[in-house]
Amino acid sequence: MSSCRSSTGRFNVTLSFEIMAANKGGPLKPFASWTALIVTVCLACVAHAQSNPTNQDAAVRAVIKTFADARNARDGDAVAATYAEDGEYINLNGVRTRGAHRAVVLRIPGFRTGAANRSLGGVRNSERRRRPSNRGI
Amino acid sequence: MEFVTPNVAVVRAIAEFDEIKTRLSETYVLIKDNDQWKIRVHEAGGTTIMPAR
Repeated sequence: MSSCRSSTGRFNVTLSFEIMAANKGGPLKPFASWTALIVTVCLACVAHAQSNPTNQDAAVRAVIKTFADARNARDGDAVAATYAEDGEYINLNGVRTRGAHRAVVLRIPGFRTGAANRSLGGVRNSERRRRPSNRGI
Repeated sequence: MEFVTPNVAVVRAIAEFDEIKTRLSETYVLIKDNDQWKIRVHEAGGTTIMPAR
């Protein structure tokens, strides 16, 4: 049996393999055991990378940057692509515009005017209680 | 930016509009679906008039 446990800070990934030879019911040869171990380590690494807060931070910032650039370029399709299908925009008066498709986005008040520079604050992870830092997009 | 859960992020941004000398506070709620982050809610908050440069 080969097992690996990776702690990511958010959840734990535990993978284990127990491989038995199909023909005789005994353990596999060393080559198969090492292969199982390598596969396990690779899967744990992938799980770690996907849950890494730094990666998530960069991914979220990329969406906002894409949105900001598309908005400034008045590119309705690109703006729409940053919204979920059921995404909604709420303006200063509380009026809601629902839907992510281009026609809806183009109806958002002010879409055709008002290029803006958008800046974001730092990252705060509620689970880890990190202190925010000031960083641009 | 705050990761409320691994699949929900709340982002606060400041948008500065040079043309109208206004600073707009915005809040975005993003959700991760199929490993892709998307804006689920985008709300324009309060505005402040930027000081003259």
